[in-house]
Amino acid sequence: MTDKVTIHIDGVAHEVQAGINLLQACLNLQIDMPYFCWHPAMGSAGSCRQCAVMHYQNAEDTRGRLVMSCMTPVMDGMIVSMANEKAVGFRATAIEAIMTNHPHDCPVCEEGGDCHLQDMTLISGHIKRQYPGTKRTHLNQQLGPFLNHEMNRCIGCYRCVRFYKDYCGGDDFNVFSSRNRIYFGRAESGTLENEFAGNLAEVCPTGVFTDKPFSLKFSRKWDLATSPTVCTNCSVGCNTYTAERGGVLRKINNRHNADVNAHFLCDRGRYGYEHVNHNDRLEKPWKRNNEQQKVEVLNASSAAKQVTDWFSQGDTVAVGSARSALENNAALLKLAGKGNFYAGVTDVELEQLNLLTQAAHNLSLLSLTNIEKCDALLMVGEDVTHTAPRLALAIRQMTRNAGLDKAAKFGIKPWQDEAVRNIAQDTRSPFYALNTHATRLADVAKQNIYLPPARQLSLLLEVEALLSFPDDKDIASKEAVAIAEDLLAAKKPALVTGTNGANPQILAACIRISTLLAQKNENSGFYCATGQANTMALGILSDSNQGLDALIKRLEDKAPKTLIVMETDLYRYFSDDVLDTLLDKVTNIVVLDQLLTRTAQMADLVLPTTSYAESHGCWINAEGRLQQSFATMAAIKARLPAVQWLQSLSGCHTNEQVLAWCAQTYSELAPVQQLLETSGSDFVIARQPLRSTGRTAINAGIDVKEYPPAQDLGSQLEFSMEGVPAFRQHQLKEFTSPPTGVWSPKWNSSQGINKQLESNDSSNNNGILLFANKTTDASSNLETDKSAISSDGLSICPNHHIYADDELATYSTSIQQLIPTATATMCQAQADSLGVKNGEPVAFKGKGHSLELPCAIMPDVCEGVVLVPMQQFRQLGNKATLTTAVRSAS
Amino acid sequence: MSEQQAPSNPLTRFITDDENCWTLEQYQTHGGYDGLKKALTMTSPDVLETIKQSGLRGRGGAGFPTGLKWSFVPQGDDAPSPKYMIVNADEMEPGAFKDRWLLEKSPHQILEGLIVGGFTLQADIGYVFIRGDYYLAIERIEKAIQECYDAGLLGKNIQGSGFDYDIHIHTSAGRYICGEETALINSLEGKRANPRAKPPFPQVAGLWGKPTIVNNVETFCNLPHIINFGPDWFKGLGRCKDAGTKIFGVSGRVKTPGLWELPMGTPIRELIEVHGGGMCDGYKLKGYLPGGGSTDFLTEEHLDTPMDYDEIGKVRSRMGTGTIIVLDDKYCPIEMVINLVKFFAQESCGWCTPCREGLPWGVEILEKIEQGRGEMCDIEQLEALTRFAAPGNTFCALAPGAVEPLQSALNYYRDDFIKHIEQGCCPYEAGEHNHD
Repeated sequence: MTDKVTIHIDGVAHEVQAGINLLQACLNLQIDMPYFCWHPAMGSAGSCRQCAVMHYQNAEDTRGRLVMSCMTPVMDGMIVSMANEKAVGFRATAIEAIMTNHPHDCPVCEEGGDCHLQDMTLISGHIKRQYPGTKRTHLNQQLGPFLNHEMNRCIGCYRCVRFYKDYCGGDDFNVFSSRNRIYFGRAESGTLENEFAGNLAEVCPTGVFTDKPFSLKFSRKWDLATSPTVCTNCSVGCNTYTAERGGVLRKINNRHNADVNAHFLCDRGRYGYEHVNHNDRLEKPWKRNNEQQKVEVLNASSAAKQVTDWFSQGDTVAVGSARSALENNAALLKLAGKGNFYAGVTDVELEQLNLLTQAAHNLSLLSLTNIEKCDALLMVGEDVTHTAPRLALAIRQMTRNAGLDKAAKFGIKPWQDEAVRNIAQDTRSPFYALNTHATRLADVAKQNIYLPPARQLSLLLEVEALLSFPDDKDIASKEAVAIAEDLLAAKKPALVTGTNGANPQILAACIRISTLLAQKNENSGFYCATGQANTMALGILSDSNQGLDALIKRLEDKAPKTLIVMETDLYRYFSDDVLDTLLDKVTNIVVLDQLLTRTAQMADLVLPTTSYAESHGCWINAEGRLQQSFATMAAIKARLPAVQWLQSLSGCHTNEQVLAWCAQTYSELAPVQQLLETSGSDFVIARQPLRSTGRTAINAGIDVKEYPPAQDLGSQLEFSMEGVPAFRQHQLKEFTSPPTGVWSPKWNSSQGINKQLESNDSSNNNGILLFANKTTDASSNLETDKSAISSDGLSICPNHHIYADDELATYSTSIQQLIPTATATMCQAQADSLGVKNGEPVAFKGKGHSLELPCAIMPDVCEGVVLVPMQQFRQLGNKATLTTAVRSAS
Repeated sequence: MSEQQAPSNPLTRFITDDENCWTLEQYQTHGGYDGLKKALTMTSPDVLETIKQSGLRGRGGAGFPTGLKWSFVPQGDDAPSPKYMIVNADEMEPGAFKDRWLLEKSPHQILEGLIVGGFTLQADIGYVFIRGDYYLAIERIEKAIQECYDAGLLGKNIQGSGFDYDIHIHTSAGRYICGEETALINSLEGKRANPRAKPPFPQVAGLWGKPTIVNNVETFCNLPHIINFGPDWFKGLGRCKDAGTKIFGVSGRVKTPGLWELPMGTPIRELIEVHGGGMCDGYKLKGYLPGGGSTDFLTEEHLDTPMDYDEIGKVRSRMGTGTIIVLDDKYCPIEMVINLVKFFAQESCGWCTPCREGLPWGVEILEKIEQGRGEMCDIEQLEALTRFAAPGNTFCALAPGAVEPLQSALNYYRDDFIKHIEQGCCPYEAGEHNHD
């Protein structure tokens, strides 16, 4: 355990963790200490001077000295006073001074009710405004689709610039000017380039940066019903709070999970929710009537009966979904049987997932928190900024460790942020990025190595050899030697890769390297970003060779009578040319989905399902962490979770029954039993805060009746303000869900979460690690097919993009605005050898599909590689070829 | 190298009365670089010991013992490298123009001090961080640096000693805060000129995270002489406890404003009445800031206080830069305070609240009073603001210095504040237009 020291605050002795600062200690003790510039993830700055306390040298010292608690390390026997008159007076003057230029526009400010400045104003006791002067005003900037900018509200805490520039490495945002005219923004209006910019809405203690999409459907915090959810936009599984009002999803906030996302989300996760509110949401079961050329609307029972009828005719094939909860997939698998269940991912991805799940027990799969603690890291094959964005932010923090160590030698604590950065300067822990092209982490890498996949693989083989025989340096490349040396020298080396590069050979090599590393160093670790939120669940549930390519083969061989497709748009994986004819051969196509996808349009029967925001479910992230997400709002219209549409066929009527079946059937899923064993209690939990005002009013224009709130049979959460409020939930041990929101007396802002850092959550709230138990039966075939290395031809590789790649996120209008035009990206030399110029078309062929993309010439793409956007790459398959490059060349 | 008689005016002995400054050749003819040459024959620890023994205190304003400050720089084979020496020539203190004189008139003396300092701590690189407006000084320092390289006084293996050392000049973009050593370092790194959190102190982790010494122009100028003539000679120069001489200055309505090199501990009365020639005819002394714009007012009763770091401290002001600004009886003290606080408010880097928000708030109230719109409660508010910006409450020393003239004016010239409020206007004849 960590060391403890005793400090005396206003005559009361407290035992606190050693090494932290006094502010953090006070907050951990639930003492209401006001602060602005400090942030738990970014440490102390000492600029706002709001957390002043009187510090006494010893028991005899009666005079004391004002110190800023955020800048003062706790020391054993320390005597401080918060209540000292001078300290109280100083804090009151500090906030009064901070507010001299604040416009006091709370009634029209979107931060109102969710505002750290409001909270601190009350806590510091600032009531009277004595400043006689006029207030300075600023011009605001257009910062893109995610954030509003209202600089007049700025109180100069520097958190935004410290987050954006220092923490995220963004270079298009800064603090300008000086004195009381300091300005936080860009050099000129324009979309913020960093993928984590949206966090500014939460990082900013007041309303300078607010959530722009939320503005369009704004509601006060006290009128929002919130539930703890898991982000479904990538495989990291960040914890989120989803908030709704009146059946409309309003906004997503970060939910602290010390092992995953801690304090920050990526912008895809924060803004990728609008599919829930989308016009293309399916509302009712539809049945195609080809004779009459019309669509019939069925009721729920006749729709379910129709599926049962078709199913009972036999010859049914089912397709599971990487963006659907574990329960839905398991229910579908149970009814279809293993041989007839196809995972909603490509065969290549499934092959990789199987490599991963087989090896997972032997590898130490790292949490993001542990990645941040590593001291050497090799990232292989993909830019995780685009495929698992929050992971990239963790890697960025990991590179700081060498600097933190250097600072520690000067006695500087990690939270003394400015001091650490001044000492560290460019000192970074070794991080290597091995990819086909420049990554968004290139600026913190010790070396960026750009190679075609085949040469990446041979470099990995060299590293592998060097790990076993470190002295054989002469046969290896300089890069391999450097990587191997750094990995071997590190205390906590890590390897990060992903399945999104669609290269099982590289993944196998990465797993072998990690296994070798794990044998040499038990603190080493591994992380493999997978495709989508629940891809890992599919990897556990389904056998290899049961992916979508296998499905196509099966359809080509002999079309089944009935095809049930759940929450997968086949048209994302195959082109119209391929699919249209194949689907025509299937007699009955049942599509369960939340949205009217291309596949749904081909269905004979459409069953509308719930989105993540309307259903409970389990999600398994890339590290095998199973997390529960709780419905934010009740399902309306005829929507049902897939589990319930399929209940009569699967024999499982509730999520619990499906999970019980999973725990019995799959050894990897046995730990799910923990969820089932935690007994419920009679208490219920409120989704709405105590002060919710809008329940009866919101529909008054339509109907003045007050209807009872919807019932939630699947959890202890209530769709109302009835039940234990969020801030008391942690006191009730029998609850199995995380708190439903951040709202407690005096701490209304989401930043109140910062107070709860020390609470050690003993429940399953941080998720259940499925691969935590080490076994030694490594039997998977990880040998590299050497022929893969020798291919010298041109490689067509995926070009991932944070906003373009996730299916559901692209329904958000804010995200759509940032999707780049699809291009065939290559370096100048490659373009020259193909004889294409910038903008000229490049033609591709693969999986029976051909397409053209304009050429885009970019530096930092290796020769021998042409990059194609992920969406196009998926349709072309990983054996795509360049057909005719040149059409023009005058 | 000619044996020299120990001078009583070491700092100005190379300064001629004309507009010119000496070339390297002229400087060396008069004994310039003798201090350096002597230092090169000693060991670095011996040189540091000599500086320690001399009792030299930093001439930038804080008066921290130079030898002690330098002894915190890690030495030895495993010490971080490179090490940096920086001359703080970013003189912007209101009322101070002493460094300019030395920079323009005696550039080689500064470089010699910087090289001696570099040798003392076995530093690798020296910087002259100079105020961008000092065009003439910049030109002369640049020329002097080139002369040194040409003469083998800079570069590799200086004078065959095996000591390598380079000097660069950096012209500042013009912020008062760059005079704060850590803000200066940030500025030199190309960052915002915000002060840094301490610890770590620059001696262990300064410029680019390496050991760094920042000292004032005048401090460096003393070094060659201390080496050349010994610490005992230096100690003997002072008239009080403090050692050496100092460039003192007087500005304001005195008959002969100017700069003089005088022994430490010279009484204020002597400075104003003898060297400054006394008050101009028709004006009486109302008070003075003893060490530049960021020091507390003193009055007639303190005239016999010696200009010595500790003695001035005892009467609750600071010696600062040693350049006295005189306030006469015809000039509105509030007007003078507004002028100063406004300057400091404008020069705030914007980092911490008391300085960024507190100083402009003070200016608002002061202007309100000066314009006759003041209320009695404003005086309390001003006092509260000076306490708000007290030392320890702020991130650096700018704001505490900025409120020093204000807090002492509230003490000594309280009647003036009350008169402004009671009469609803400035009681001084020329009022707001009372500018020289």
